[in-house]
Amino acid sequence: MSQFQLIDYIPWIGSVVAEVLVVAIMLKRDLIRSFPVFFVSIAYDVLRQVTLAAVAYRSALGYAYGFWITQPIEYVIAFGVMLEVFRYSLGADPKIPTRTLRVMAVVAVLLVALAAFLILHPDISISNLRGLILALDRSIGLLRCGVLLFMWAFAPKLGISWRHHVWGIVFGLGIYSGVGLIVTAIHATTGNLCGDWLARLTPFSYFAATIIWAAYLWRPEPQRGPLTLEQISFFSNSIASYRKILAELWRSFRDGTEH
Amino acid sequence: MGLSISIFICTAVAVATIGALILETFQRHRTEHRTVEDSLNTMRRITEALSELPNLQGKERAAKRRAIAREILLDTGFVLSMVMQCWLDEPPKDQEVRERTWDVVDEIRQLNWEVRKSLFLFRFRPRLVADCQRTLHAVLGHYRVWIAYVRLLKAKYPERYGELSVPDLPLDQSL
Repeated sequence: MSQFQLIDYIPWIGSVVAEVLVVAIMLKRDLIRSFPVFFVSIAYDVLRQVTLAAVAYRSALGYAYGFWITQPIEYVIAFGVMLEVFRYSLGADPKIPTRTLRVMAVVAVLLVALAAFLILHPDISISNLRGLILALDRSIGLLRCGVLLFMWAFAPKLGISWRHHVWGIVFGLGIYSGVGLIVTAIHATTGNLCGDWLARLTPFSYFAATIIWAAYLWRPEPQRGPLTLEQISFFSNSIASYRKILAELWRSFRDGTEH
Repeated sequence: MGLSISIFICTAVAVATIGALILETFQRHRTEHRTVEDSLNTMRRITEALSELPNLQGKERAAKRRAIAREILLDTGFVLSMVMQCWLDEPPKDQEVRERTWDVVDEIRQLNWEVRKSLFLFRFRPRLVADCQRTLHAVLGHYRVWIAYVRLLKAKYPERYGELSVPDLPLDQSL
């Protein structure tokens, strides 16, 4: 394990500890039923990190191969997590307006086309394995970030209100994906796969994401009681007075007092 | 050239994602600590601001309209969080409750879109929105959201709110 320095162990061990915490919190709060794919992603990463640590102890090359072979599974699960939080936030009976659906389809096609364009027109040669990995990594990073941005942008149009736990998952994933995309974009143009200071940003961002997940899942969802009758009657009285005020304002603006 | 474009695209998407999520987190923090009392106070403030509008000119009027739009956005976010809390805690089986829920979500969806559009115009095309019609529509829309929410409460908890009469508020000038 001589290829790693002390600074590499901080996010590595730290994220595993935080992930174990997330697993424990999810088990304790019975959140697995709500977010099964997210639970699988965390459990998978804990297993992966522990296995890779054992492999790295024996062979640096084995670690590198192990890391890149298991990486696509992580990507697939991450997209599964995004789909899961999106479906959860839409509710059991989603009602998406046709126009919004059309815009979403167009944006999705553009995003996929952009990711494909970056693979077909790479900045470095993809005839070798390193170049291919870098180009693919960049495009997948772009897709992941794009989907998260897309979900955030469409939330008001879809009437989505991200609840506390779901938002924690989206927020952590977004931070990790965003930093990861910047790093892979630079690597894909310089041809570096790892070993520089920039490569350390991704594990640190993942460590930050695991802390965000643990913190958000630890806190229970905020609860609000139903409105009191006094509050509702105040509201009803207000509407009557607003009607008068608004009617006067309509008239005053219509009669040309506006500037 | 190709090199700079790909880095530019990826960095822009990454920064936009991180920035949007951090901003949303701050926004959520404000909504999470909001109470119904805060909402009622918002209604009071909006009404006061609205009645001051005809007497204001230029920048003062623009600032007041922006303030009203932001208050509305914050409050509809709060109402939406309450509606979604109801929905996810106890998915409605009753058809009327489902329809009432979607009525609120539809009202909020339309209003949010209009208010965001107005905020954009206030900032970049203020001449197009100098007549305050958008602000009046937004305020009406805000009350329609609350009316739809109270109707949802009536449908969901008939034993508690069944006796309440909810006034209507048409979204036009026939007030």
